[in-house]
Amino acid sequence: MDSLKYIVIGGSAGSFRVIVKLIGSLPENFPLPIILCLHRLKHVRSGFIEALEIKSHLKIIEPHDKMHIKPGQIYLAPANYHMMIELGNHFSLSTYENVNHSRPSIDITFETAATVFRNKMVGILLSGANKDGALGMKAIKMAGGYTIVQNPAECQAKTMPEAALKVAKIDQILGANQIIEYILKLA
Amino acid sequence: MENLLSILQYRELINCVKDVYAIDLSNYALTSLRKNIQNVIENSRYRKPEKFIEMLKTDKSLLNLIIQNLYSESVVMFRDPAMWRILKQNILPSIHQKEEIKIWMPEVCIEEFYTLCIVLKDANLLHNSIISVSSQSLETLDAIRKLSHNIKEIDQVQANYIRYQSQIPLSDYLEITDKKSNIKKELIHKLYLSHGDIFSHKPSFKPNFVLFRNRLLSYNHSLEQKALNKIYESMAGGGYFIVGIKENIEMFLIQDKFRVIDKEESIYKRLF
Repeated sequence: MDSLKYIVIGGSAGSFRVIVKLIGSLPENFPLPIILCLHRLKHVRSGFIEALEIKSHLKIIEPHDKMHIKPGQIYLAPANYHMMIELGNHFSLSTYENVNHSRPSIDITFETAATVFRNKMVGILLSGANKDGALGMKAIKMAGGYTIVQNPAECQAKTMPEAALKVAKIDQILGANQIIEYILKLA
Repeated sequence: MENLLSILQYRELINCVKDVYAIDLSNYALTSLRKNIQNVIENSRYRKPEKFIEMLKTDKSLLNLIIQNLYSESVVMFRDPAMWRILKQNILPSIHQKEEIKIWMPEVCIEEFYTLCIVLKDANLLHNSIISVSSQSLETLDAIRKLSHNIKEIDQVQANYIRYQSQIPLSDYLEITDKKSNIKKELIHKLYLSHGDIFSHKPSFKPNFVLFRNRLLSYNHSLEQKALNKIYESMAGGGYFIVGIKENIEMFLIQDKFRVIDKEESIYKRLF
């Protein structure tokens, strides 16, 4: 657990309240970067971050292309861009076609994070109504990273975590509160 | 997953393109280009990276596929409708007050080009403008010349157009049949097409407006700076420059050569 340096979280329908609760639980000096890839409306550029930050001590940043990843920051994939992790620890954005009907796609963020972060990352997949993120979780696992899915039984939409469980040997299945406890312990 | 292009294979492919075709792709953003090439390989007749790289040495059609996929062509018309609205209402009339609108679109994206033509017409400035476009892809230039590109995701285009807020229905600008969606021929006015990349090509005029959205994404830091310098040197003083909303030119030394006009829509003005 001490070797984990990056937290990468994907989610869609039903994940919003989990993320709000998580961010609201984080102390101001939380040391690790958290990278969020959440399905969102393509044309809505403002309001989403403000809604996520509502109880947060920390600011959420939508990165520009080539922005460096810094400890203790929370990053959210911008609307209508894929958000990739580039060698050299910075973000690389793309207008590549939809993947799993989504842009941003969780698979793309997870797969590229797996390539760069390898066994230093934990990938967490939350509630969602399609299978985006499943192959990304497989990539994280194959690269030596740690994987957690939200317990499908408590998800508003369980397709996403169930798809991941079908294709990868996920390390833990946790409820939302347990996921938050796990993340807090990483500090 | 078995046929994924590894980083080693990617570098082997880039070296092959350089050695055999004298084209240097090493300063394109690695993850982005690797993903695009992965897609090309999967859709090719070879499907496996090793075989593709082997055949690339002698089959130039594979190089053409790579060149066609250097940049994402998945942009839908009127992406970022607010930007296009500002362009129509403020930027284009501002340029036109002083002179003819001279536009350069290096590494042209077809749907962005189509959008620009509609916006010029919508602003009644189509006949007061000339456009120079360039591309490394002959297929892209051919599609523009023949207006053979089929507009993607027409429903999304309609939704974007509504947010752009024109008084004219979109159907006035498009020809839509069962099989194809395209812009009307009369929306093409003075257009110059050039084959080549942004570094080897320059328009025959000094542009007072450069549209280069979501192209810097495809470059690494070094190539990005080179492209921005090229654009700066090619432009007329006081000209407008627009990049993608998540592309940031402020990180670079040339920021003192441009002034921010609209930070949210990434609109800049070249200083004299």
